[in-house]
Amino acid sequence: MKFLHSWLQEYIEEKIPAGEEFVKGISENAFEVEEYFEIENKINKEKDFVYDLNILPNRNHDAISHYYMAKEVAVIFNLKLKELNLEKDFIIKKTTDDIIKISDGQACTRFMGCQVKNLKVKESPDFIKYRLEAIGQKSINNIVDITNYVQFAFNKPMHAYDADLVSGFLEARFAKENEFMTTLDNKELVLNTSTLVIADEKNVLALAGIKGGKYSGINEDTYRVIIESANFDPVLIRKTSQRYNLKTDASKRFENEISDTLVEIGMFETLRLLKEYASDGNIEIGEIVDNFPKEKLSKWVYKISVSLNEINKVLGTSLDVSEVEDVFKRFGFEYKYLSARENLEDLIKKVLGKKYKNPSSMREDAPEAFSCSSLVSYLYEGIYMPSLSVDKYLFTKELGKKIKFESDLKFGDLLFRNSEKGKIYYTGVQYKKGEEVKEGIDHVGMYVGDNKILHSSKNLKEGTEIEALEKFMTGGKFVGYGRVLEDLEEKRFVISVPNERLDLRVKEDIIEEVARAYGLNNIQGIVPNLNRVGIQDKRNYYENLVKNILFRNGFSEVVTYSLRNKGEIEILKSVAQDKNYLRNNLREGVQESVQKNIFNLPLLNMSEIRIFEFGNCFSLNNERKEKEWSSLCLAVDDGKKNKSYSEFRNKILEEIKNELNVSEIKFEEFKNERQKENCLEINFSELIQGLECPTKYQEIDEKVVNREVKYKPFALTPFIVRDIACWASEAIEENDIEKIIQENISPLCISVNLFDKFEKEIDGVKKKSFAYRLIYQDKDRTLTDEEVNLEADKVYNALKSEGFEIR
Amino acid sequence: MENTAHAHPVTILSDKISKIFTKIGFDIASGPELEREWYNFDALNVPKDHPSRDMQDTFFLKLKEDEKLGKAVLRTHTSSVQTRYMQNFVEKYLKGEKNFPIAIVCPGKVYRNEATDATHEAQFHQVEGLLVGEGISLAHLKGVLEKFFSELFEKDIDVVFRSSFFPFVEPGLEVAMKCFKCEGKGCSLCKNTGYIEIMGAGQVHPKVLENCGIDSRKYSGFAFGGGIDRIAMLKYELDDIRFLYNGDLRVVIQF
Repeated sequence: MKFLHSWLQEYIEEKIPAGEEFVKGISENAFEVEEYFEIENKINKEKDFVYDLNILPNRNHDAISHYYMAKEVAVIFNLKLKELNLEKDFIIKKTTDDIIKISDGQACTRFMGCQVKNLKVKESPDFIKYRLEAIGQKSINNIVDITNYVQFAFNKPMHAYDADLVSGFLEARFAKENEFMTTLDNKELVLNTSTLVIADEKNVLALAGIKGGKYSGINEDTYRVIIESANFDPVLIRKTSQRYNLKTDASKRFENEISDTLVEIGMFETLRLLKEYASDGNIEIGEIVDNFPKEKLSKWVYKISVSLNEINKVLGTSLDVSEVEDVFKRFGFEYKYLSARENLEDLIKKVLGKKYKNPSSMREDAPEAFSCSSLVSYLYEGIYMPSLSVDKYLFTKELGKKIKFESDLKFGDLLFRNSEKGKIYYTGVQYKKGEEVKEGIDHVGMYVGDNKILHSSKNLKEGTEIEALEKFMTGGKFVGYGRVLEDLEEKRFVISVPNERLDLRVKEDIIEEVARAYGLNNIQGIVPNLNRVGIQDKRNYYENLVKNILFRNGFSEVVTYSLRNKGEIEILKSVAQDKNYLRNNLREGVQESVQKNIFNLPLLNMSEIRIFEFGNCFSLNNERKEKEWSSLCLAVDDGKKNKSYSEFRNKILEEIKNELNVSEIKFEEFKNERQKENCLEINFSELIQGLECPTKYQEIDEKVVNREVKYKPFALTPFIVRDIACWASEAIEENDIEKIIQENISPLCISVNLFDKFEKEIDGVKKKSFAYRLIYQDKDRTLTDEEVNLEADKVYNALKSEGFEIR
Repeated sequence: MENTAHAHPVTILSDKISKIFTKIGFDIASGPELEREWYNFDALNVPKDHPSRDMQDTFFLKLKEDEKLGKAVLRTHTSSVQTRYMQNFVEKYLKGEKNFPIAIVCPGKVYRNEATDATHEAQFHQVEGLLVGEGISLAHLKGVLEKFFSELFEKDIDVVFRSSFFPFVEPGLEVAMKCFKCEGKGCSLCKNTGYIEIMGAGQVHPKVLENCGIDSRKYSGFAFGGGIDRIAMLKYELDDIRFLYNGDLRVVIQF
């Protein structure tokens, strides 16, 4: 997303570093910068910058907006963020009409609506126009621009409906099968029952969270609107946007999930801007209706507990408490710093006497009501723990092994019980799913010392009470102990996560924030001493062994495509039409490679193509289940007809047999248009199946993998070959001839190669014969025979005039 | 004319990489290219119906969906070898056959369903690294990568971290190395930035460890992954990735 420097600056007290300095800080410790450029600020005529930042899915909850990006900028550059003083006290005119309704509280988690009258549609004020256009948005009119502006300022997509075109109230509901809708950009959609829409009594007015409809859109006569500020289930929005192939700025935000608290920020900001820029001072703002089914749940503040030691252990640093506190302050995190014991003691006071409720969710019910397990999660504030008691047992039993007798119990330890009534769990559910707990568990309590235990149970009068351990033990069969933390006395930070930061959920997330603010590049590298030499997996080991044999025999290696136009396993929606199957053999690709290279024999300076490939192939077995194996294919061809390769083939197979120490190699043999049997393929997985596992790394022949490489791009145009052979007297050496050739060729001749040389007595005189191959090629065009003849003639003539006899 | 044998550049690099890492103490591992969603995504903390799945274009295969492991895909990264290896390791660990740390490097072919051009191919090669044990930190990651790049490019190479996001690591990083050609002064290879972004990395997300049966409170570690083709293109200044897979010996004989 594009960000405008002056817009970010609006939210920060001190001056933000601009241009290159901004890019450096942001790209190291926050986001990748795709590009940035300077522009002129149309408002004050000063220098301004646009930064295109790549925001990844974890920060689409907040940072794809200027305010929340400014918050990030303030952290990175250690600047002071301005306090956000939202105007909330509008003069409100009471209305009696119901304007909004939610039919499904899972799909639409919050819906705020407000009717605004006496508006005037006109051009946007300059600053809104400038800012939107600078980040690549089109300015339409003041009302539409204001909703758009709020989206890019606070990450809250907004929608405005022309109230004159709405019959009755707006409802967030699922569409009926085959209901119709026309989008703002004139796309006709046929809806189904899994599509959430915003509708009035008659029509579908918008695809919820994705796109507005044409029917109730803002037009030049609009004077009263209903403002929608809502939040939707991210998975639902994602699926709907995929179904209709509609990706919008709004859908991107909703599918990444945004906090319900943005709903009110969006509404207040929209109203403020409408009041200021879309009326002639006589605006009438109706009552803000807030339909918020999950209010309790979304107001829950996430806590994350992390110790200094844990931070330093992950980062490999030695930060001290004040350095970490400084980071938390920069992020504006509220936190406490105390031992888990102190925190448990504080919280115990809050939970005593609170009622028992099962099932109950900590986020919705605490601290007013608890189940046995939600109580434990609540007390161990911010420490990650699975929710069910059986899972808590599996999670804590390892440390719990330190407790052999009741006398070993320490404050904070957990005791698990099978109450022998109701639902008992015998395996892990969310944690270590499926792991068996033979005794069965349905209850947990926490030891508080003095042979007393705190738990929440329907059998307790007060719900949540401290009870004698003895009594707890008689309430069913005791199963085992658990311990949450090794050291309860260690001090820990308990951080309250700001509600828009949906990406901060486990302590590693907090540790990342510490690393970013501290500076990732202040971490110093340490090479761990592993005290061992690594070994290779079987497949790569034996492949390397066989590769060495093949290299020794003059084979070069190719890697061809695994995706082909035929095979047994089909690819769904492949981007390339000729690649919609997985290959079930290597030979087709390898034979194609032979064919391609055969024409280039002179260019390659080879007398014969010898290639091999190691690669995976895929097929279906009789039950139509997939099968994957490693295959080896080799092919040979000299471009002439009917050469027998059987002896060569036997030699290679013999060498492989000896090297792998196998008695037999199964192979299939194939031919091409010139040769019979020029290619063979071996199921390599099968071949090495019974072989021993390696105990070292098999290196590839140094001579092959350690060459000095100077890669040169080559021409893709055809080349033309001219052979020149001549007789010379005994005294003449290669150099003498080559000198003449080199002096008489142009850059079109890309290669001069002596390919034959012999001596012979002719009429009693010893003579030498030299045969050269000249290759002509131009990288930009196809040469003609005529021009190559002229070129070659120059060489012939030069040799002739030097007295050589051309053969 | 004598036929000289040439290895494919990906083999040459995989061999160099593997040699460097086995010397540090990493084993070489491999895994299937035809994967199931669980190993390629879910176990790696990339949930279904989550935008983070869009970070990679996936080839889905016309095969029956597995109840537990999900749909059949071509692996989009070698990270799937991590999850398979860890799961398998835990079984052996519980039997007393293997012990921490887990130290592996996995070179292999991966696939992305995207349009091809000079720098993008539907198939390419990656190398994945994983070190999980007690007290393994980002400082170790940095140390290992600096050693690796310095040996690969045969000169001292600084590594810098940049904040990034991959669902399977936390903290998540983009790893850039000082340009081996201009040594940080700026040249065409590093687009005048002095640095080349070369891999993704980070501390293995606790959920990934837990998904594979490893206690994330006791063990931690790092993972990294990068394109071998990309390293080949940089190191040898190859101009078109497609030349690596068209079976043309005019490319191979130059190595």
